[in-house]
Amino acid sequence: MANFLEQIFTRKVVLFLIIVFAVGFIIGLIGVYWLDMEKGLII
Amino acid sequence: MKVIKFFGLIIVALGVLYGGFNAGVYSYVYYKKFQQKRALKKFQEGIKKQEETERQKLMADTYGGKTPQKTLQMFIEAVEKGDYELASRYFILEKQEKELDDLKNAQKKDIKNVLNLLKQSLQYQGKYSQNENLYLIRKPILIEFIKYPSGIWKLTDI
Repeated sequence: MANFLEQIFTRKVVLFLIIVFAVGFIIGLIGVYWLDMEKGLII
Repeated sequence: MKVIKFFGLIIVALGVLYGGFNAGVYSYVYYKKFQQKRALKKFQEGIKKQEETERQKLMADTYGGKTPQKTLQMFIEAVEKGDYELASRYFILEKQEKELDDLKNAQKKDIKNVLNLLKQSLQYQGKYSQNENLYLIRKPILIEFIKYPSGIWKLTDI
């Protein structure tokens, strides 16, 4: 099992997933900020 | 196998993207809530401080009697002596300056008339408000009093 996971989650894949997470995080942050500021979404 | 791996990675990536998106949204929401809480706390503290300052100001004002009648008596005596500065101090803080001006600019004859009315009003029984913080004499002229936190009575209006 450990070997299988090591095969799939290589350094490149992990780095890629971290970047994907960061991109999602930024999109969410900017998106909700825009909704709050421009559209007056009350949080 | 490669195709499965590729699509698997795509699905995982989409999941991670969604997770990141949610983390971004909630981070902003929590930060905003934290900011609002902090601002509210600051505002409440400001109000409390202001109230305390106001209370201390009122506590420091010792011009007045333990009863409305006593305050009125003291006011009459001060005006009779011509000590308008002292007389004006028997009014609430906000009105002292205006009352001092009024007394200084009033004619002696008018002051005498008002003093006579005030002396008469000492004979009349006024009425306390429900919480006993206000006192009102209606006859022969309307005189309003308020009780300060220190327990002394101040003139609100004549």
